[in-house]
Amino acid sequence: MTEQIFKAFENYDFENDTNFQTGLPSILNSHQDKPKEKLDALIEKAKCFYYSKVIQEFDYDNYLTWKTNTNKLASSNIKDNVESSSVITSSKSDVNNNPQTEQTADNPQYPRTFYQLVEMIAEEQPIPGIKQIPNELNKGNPSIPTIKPRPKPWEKKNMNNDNDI
Amino acid sequence: MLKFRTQGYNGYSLQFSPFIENKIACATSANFGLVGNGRLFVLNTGVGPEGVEVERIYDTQDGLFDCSWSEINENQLVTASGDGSIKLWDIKLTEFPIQNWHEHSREVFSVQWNFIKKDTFISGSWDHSIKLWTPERSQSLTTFNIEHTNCVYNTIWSPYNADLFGSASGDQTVKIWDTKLPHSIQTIIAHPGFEILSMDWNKYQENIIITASTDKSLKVWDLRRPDIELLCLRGHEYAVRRVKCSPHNVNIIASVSYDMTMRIWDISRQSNPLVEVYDGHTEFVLGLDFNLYIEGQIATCAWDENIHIFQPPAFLS
Repeated sequence: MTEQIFKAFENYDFENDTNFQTGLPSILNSHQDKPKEKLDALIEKAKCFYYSKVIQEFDYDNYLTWKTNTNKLASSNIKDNVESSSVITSSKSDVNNNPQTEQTADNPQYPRTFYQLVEMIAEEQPIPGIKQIPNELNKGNPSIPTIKPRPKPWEKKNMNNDNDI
Repeated sequence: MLKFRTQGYNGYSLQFSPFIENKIACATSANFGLVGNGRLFVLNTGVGPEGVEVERIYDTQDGLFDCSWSEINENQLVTASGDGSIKLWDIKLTEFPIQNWHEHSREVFSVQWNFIKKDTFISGSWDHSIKLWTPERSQSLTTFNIEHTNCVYNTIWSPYNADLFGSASGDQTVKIWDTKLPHSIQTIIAHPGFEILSMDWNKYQENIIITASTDKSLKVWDLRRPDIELLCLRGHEYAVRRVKCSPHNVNIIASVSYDMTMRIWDISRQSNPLVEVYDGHTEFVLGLDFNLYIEGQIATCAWDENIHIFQPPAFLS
């Protein structure tokens, strides 16, 4: 099952996925001065993040382990990927179409700002506006309920039915 | 039509109070829940110039994906958090929760208070596990794991049996559980090849459940004959995020989707069950609830930072 997902990811047609290709230049443009290995790592990372988000969620660390074990790892950028994988695996995805369907036209259009955010996360840019909330419990006394639970509409109707009988 | 802007926060889930018909809570996340804070809104409807007024706002470190009102204390509710925590809030108090549990190792995507055993609630998580809780205890009562092999998206109590609940998972199954037993009592591969994002129990027929999936469809099931669905509801153009059965009408269900619509279905109309399409939102619609005490009133929340509370025309007839 998992292996299928990894294989589907590797075989996925990123070249013809317009959503992916539209977002990619803006990621790469800001890293033009980086060496090629770094760019490859960045593309790999973006692919992984995108696939995990839009097509099928998977665990990047497990993927790398699998890739290593199956001797498919020829690239030199694995270390970069491992180091940055926490960003990718902490991503939150909840609408994953099945890899077998592979219909990118079937995927819903995420908001534009969503893709911008994905890029920022992939580039490890700081996300603005995150507040620090103290992890505290309230020191006040919890309230005492004053209202008795109300019967639900189906409980009322059933009670009425019982009375009828 | 009442509208409320959850400025800067994308709606994930909402629920009308089971005690007060004009009160609603909404769980939201900044940045689409990808990263950053959560915010719980407690709102009163039918008041003020806009028709909606804020009673409380609570901020959390991580995004909020679900909320559920207590069934025994009209001032309390629980929230499900992206950081794996579950928090209990008392709206008579400001700022901080009165309880904070942290047992799930990944995003908690579902919490629901028990309708009958009103001192318990249940949670479902992307760590594949389900946990049973009581507010009195600092640890969960029971953990149901090693069965689902993917994220649990939704955990819903039976309206008729205090021990029975269902779970919807990314592993293509919906499972039925009895809290007295460590293992599930029924498994339905309801949408083969696709994730199941939500389920609900019919409120008037205790063996009927509905499932909602990334395959864009909803299916109606009789748990006594689970080999094939009674009905498949097609119409949504993308994954169906949430389904709820009407608390008032045995045949009416509502669903919200990544196609940005809310749809109402009449499952007694086998050939043409779609009753109404509401397309007032401009991004994915994730949250949905029926008002228990104002018949026909529905609330939705969406990634467009809006809560809509309204009476769909279909219910006016």
